[in-house]
Parts: sequence; structure tokens; C-alpha cells
Amino acid sequence: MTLLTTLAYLLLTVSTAQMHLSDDQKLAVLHEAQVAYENGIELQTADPVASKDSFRRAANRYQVLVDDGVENGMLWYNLGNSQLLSGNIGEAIVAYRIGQRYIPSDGRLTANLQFARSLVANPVKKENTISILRRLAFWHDALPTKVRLTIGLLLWFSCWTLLSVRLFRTIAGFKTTSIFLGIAVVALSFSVVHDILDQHRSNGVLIESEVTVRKGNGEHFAPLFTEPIHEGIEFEILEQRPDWLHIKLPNGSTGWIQEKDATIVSRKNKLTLG
Amino acid sequence: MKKTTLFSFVLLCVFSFSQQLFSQQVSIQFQHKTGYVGVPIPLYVVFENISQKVEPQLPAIDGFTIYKQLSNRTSEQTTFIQGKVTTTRRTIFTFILTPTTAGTFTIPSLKFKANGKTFQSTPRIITIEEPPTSGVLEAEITGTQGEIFLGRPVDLTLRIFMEAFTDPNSGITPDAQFMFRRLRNDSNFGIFTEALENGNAKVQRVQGTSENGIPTTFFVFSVQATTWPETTGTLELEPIVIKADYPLAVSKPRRVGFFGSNQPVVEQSTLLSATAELPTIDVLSPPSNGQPAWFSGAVGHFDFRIVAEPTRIKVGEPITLTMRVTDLTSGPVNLDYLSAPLLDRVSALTDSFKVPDKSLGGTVNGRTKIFTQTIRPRDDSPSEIPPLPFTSFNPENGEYITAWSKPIPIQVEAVATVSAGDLIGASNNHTIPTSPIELDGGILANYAGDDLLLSQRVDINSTIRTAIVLPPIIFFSILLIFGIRKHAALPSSKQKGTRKVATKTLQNAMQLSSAEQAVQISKAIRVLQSNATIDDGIAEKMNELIERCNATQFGGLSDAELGKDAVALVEQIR
Repeated sequence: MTLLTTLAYLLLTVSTAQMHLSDDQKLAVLHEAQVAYENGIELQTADPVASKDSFRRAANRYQVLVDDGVENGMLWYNLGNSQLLSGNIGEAIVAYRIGQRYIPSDGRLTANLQFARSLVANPVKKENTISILRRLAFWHDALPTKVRLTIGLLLWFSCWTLLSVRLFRTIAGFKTTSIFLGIAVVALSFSVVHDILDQHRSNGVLIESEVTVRKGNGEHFAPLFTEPIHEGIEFEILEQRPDWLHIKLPNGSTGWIQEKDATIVSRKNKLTLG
Repeated sequence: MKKTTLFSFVLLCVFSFSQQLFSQQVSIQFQHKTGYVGVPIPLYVVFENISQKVEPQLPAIDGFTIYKQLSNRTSEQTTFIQGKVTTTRRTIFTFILTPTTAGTFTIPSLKFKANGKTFQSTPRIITIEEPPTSGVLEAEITGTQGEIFLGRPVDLTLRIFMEAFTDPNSGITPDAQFMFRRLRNDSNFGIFTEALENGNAKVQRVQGTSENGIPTTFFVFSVQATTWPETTGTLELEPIVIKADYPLAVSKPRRVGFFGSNQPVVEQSTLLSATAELPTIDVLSPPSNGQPAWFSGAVGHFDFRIVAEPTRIKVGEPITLTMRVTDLTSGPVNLDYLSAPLLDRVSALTDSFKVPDKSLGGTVNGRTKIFTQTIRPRDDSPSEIPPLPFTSFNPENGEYITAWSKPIPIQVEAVATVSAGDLIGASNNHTIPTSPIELDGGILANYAGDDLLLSQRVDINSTIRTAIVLPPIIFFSILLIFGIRKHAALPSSKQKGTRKVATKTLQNAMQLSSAEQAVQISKAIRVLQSNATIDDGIAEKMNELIERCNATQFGGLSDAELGKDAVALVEQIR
């Protein structure tokens, strides 16, 4: 059995039985969300308060669908828009980032995520270093998992077909082609496996307007910075303890925040074995 | 002497004990002299030191319905006082008497039989009145009413009036705390619930007159609450319904002590309710007349300050404006709904800067809300960020107030670019067509349609697993078949096969007649000559054998050793 399937088996999750919305109910909820969103857009200038309420309602409806297990990047994108227009920058960034996993090359999503990030007060600047591996694997972020898996399977098939044909006849450029195919298949396999493992890697976004980062997992520890950091700042989770998260900020600083101040970026439904 | 003393002591003890045990008595406990129609009054029948099982019944009493409680209470009390032992066994039966009409009634003399004796109570007189239905509990709401503007608080005060109560029999007048506890939990306090739960009620003792014009004392419980209308129109408040178990009879606390309650005990109460009339409040949005374009709905009086960072930038680079809006009014404040000024509508700013047109979140810190906005200079001409306005509506005089920030000096450097004119040598007067400039900021539209419900989940299902496993299996299968076939085509394999065929042919030939045998041997040796690698000595022997075969086949000679020699030759080749 290949590495890919072995790893996929290891990640097999047992889903608990739960009630789900029927297709008609999902359509009705989606319709409600879209109407509430459009209503919010219409009221934005005339009645900002009512407009925000509408966006909140829309976000609530979209959330019902994603909680029900609908896994769609455009749905997460819409949820992100509703959260952003409700004034919840942190939640919006979370939704965009999850949506990005399904539609990584979507221009609208990228633009709105960038805009949401620009609204973060006093953002923590990223370290300017990008690893060579990251540069080489630009296609990993540009293509959805499904597309990479399909391409990988096609190349895998081509690779073995080439080897089989080579048994009977000489092929010009066989060596170069086979090496290229082999590298491509291995890279795509790692890319897909990375996505599967990524579901367990923890990232998060701050959702409270002001969050104090501390040097330890308790209120009695001194603050790490002179000022609190703000909603929408993204971070990597290094460790989880009861009520506290050990985080790494984009500038490389590490500290502790209370769990209630942040949301962990993760898809509720994971890549699964059929 | 000693025996006599001991006997006398025992006798004395037995006599004393027996004397008390046999002190039998039946009495009734009925303290009330007044009562109210429909309000139950308990009547207790107490049997003391009655050994016989009794089931007392009451006769019908004019003006009352009677209900006997099924269970009774039994207690036994033993006391030692100055060496004297007293034991009292008491059984109490409870009858609930509910007055049916107002008037003066007599509880007649009641007779009970126990242990063969008849016990009789004395008659009791009780006056029954109609219960008070109003005047002892009232509620009212005061505070904001009429028209207010969206964004302003609605301050309301709930006042609950409860008439002080004095029990005519015991003379006890419960205090305010006791009376406050008479308010029932199923009352609906609406927006005042949280304040009451937090213990923010104040109490006041006031003198007034009852509905009948009798001077009386009232306890006034007042509590304040503030709410913030979220939409325009008539403010809908939850109805306020106060319910109280108003006492009609109280008695002294049964347990007084370090841990005991010193509050009176309610013997009788009646349920009263009062509804507070809600004020009519219309929430208005500020008038459009005189409203500036950048107005974002703020109502009140605010201070507005801006900080820009950085102030030295290049054309197109962002400047972060941090706007601090501070509420200058007194009283409670809720800035959650306060929006930032719509800077994208301030032409003095948008002429020189790109300004996003979307609403900002903002963070609240006390009476201040902080917004951040990013702007970008369009060219290198601006030397300052112009004064920016924050307009709020003053509900007191119905006018708009605009607070202006101070201008912030900035330095914008031009970005060196090579224009088309530089390349083609066009004159400065020549107008170069320009493409529309895309503005930064704002969010793009939502996706729509039922496609949003299509799952984009990646399933590593059985088809994919098969697609992964099948190609190598097919390849190795082909490789195996190809290998077998290739191996069979090797010279050594062919030689081996030829020998095998030749040996078999020769073995078969041994069974045949000499002519046919010669044909088969000749054929087998020719096959060996064509396929097998043979050294010269064996080749000669083969030729010799073929000649002998020809001689037998065509010359009619008989060669008995031909078969044996052919087999021996094949063995040599192996």
C-alpha cells in the first residue's frame, strides 16, 4: 500500500451520528442567509444599526450550514463577508482562511481576506523570510486539494503506463520523462498528505478587540507586550492547556493567551476515507 | 432500713412519672379573630397523652368550608425539672377552614372523645371580611418618554409601592426587607430584572393614604435600568407585572437564636398583582435636513481626534489613521453602535487620498471608541491630512455639531516612473489616455446560487484507492508475463527444449519398425543439429548416424544398434 493511503488510513476519523438538515432545509437556510445579506447591504447607509443586525443574521444562517457539514469554499467566503460587515474581523478572517483551503486561487476570497487583514488594528508584521521550499511549492497554495489529488492520480497513472510501454519498445526521452513524472507524483502526494495533516495543525485568530499576551498560562504572569494586541491577528498554536493557548505570532514572538479570546482555524469535517 | 428507702424512691418515681403520663388533655388552637373570604385559616386539634387511636371530625360550621389534612403530627417531649420527669405525647390534627362569606361567625364548642372521656372546647368568635383587592400593591415606571433619537439611552425607573402591614392580632409590623421578599419570583420585571438580581433596588418609607383615605405607610422599592434602542420606531418594552404574596396574618418567629430566623412567620397571605403602565417612547432617526454627507448616525456630543502613522511616505503607500471618538455627555454610554465618520465622503480628503468606502469595526475603551482607517495618497501633492469632521446630532437643540480634527502635516515622495511620453518623445501637451485607477479597500460581492451547497470535500474513497494500487499491479503483471516469454526465447532455453523434444522422439522411435525408426531418428538428429550448440566430435557422430538412418531407410539395410546409438548420442549432448 502506498504512503498516501497508509497516512490516510491513520487519519481515519469516526464520525458520530448526528441529525442533518435535509436538502430542502439547506436551500431554505441558504436563501434566508442571502436575503439577510442583501438586506444588510441595502440598509448600510440608511440605517447602519439595522444593517449590522442583518449581516449578523446572515452570518448566523451561513454558520448553520457550515455547522451542518456543508463544505464549500464559496459558503465560507460568504460567511466571512457577513462576519466582516457585522464588525467581527477575527471571525471573518477565520472564515476566509477556511474557505481558502477549498478555493485557494479564488480572487475574491484572496482580496477580501487581504482587506480584512488590513482592518486589523496594529497588526503584527510577519517575518520577511520565506523558505526556499515554500517558494518552490507555490502551486500548493494555488491549487485546491481536489485538483492536486486529480493531477497526482493522472501523473501516477501516466508514470506506470510509461514504464509498461517501455517494456515493449524504446521511448525517446524515457529517462527524463520518468524522472519528471516521479518527482511530480511524489511532490503532489506530499502536498495532499500535507493538507490532510494540516487539519490537525493548529492556527488561530484573535476574536476579542484587545487581548493581553502573557509570559505564562495564568493571569499572574506579566504581559509580554506593553500594549494588548487586537482582533484579527493570526497566530500559530504551539501548545494547548486548560483555558490557555501557547501561541507564536507572525513576528516570531511567543506567549500565552486565554482560549476564549481566540478561535482555532479548522474545518469541522475533515478529509475522510470514503 | 436500706430496702425500705429504695422501695420508697422507686414508688415515688413511678408515681411521679405515672402522674404526668396520665395527664390527658384535648384542646384546639385557633388564634385568629379576623379573616378574609377565600383565605384559608388553620385550626389545630391537639391530643395530649391519649393512648387510644383517635380520628377527630369537625361538625359543619356556618360560614366556612372545612377540609381535614390527611396527615397528622405526633411528638413526644420529656423534661427533667428538679428531678421530676415529665413526658408529654402530643398528636395534632389540622383542619383548614376557608371562610365563604363576610360577617361575624362563631366557631362553636367542639366535642372530642378520647380514652372514654369527652373533651370540650370553648366557642371562638371570628370576623370575616372581604379581602383587600387593590391599594396595597402598585407599580409605576418613570423616566424617558416621548421622542428620543436613535443612539441615546432610555433611562427608566420602576417604583413598587407596597403598603406596610400590621397584624391586628400579634401587633407585628414586618420591616421593608420582609415585605420585599413577598414579591414573587414569577413576577415579570422586564428590563429591570438584571438590576434587581444585582441587588440594586432602593427602599424608601413614605407616608400616604390608602384608597379608603386612611393614613398609612408605604414601602417604595425603586430600581433603575437603562436600555439602548437598536432601531427606529416605537420602542417595544416587555410588560411589567408585579406579583406579591401580601401577608394577612403574621406571627412571631418560631425560632429566635443565633442561627434562627428573627423574621415573622406568614400565617396567611393573599396573591396580589399590579401592572406598571409602560411609557410610550418613539425612537427617531436624526433629521436629514442639515445632515452632512459624512454623518454616520452619532447622537450626542463627542470629541474627535486623529493620529496618522507614518507621516513620511511615498505615493500609494498606506497611512493608518487612528480615530478616537470620545463621548462628552454625562450619564451612561453605549458606544457599541457608534460608527466611524464616512471619510470616503469627505471631498477634502478623497481629492488627494484613496479612502476605502466600507464601514469600520472599532474598539470601545470606556467612553472612547477607536477606529482605524487606511488611506493612500494619490500623488505627491498633499502636504497634510486636512482637518477631518465627525458630526453628531445634538438632540437638545436639534442641530448637528461637527468636531474637526487638527490638520496633520505629511511628506509624500513621488515615485519615479517612466511614462509613455518619455519613450516616444511625445510633447507635454499631448494628452495620454489613462486607464481607470482601481481603488483599494472594500470587499467583493458574495457568491450566490445553489452551488454553495455542493460539497468540495476530498474523499479518499475506494475508487481513488483502487486507482492508486491498480497501475503498479498491472505493470508488474505485464513485467512477469514478458519476463517469462523472454526467458523462453533464450538460446539455452531453446537448446534445452530441443533436446527434450529429440529425446522424446527417440524414445518413441524405439517402439517402431526399423524403417520408421530410422525416419524418426533422422528427424530428431536434424532438429538437434539445427538448434543445439554441438562440438565437432558429436557433429561427426550425428552425421554418421544420419548416414546409417539413410542406409536403413533407403538402402533396406537392417541396423539393430541404430536406436541405442542415437539415445547414447543425445545423452552425450546433455
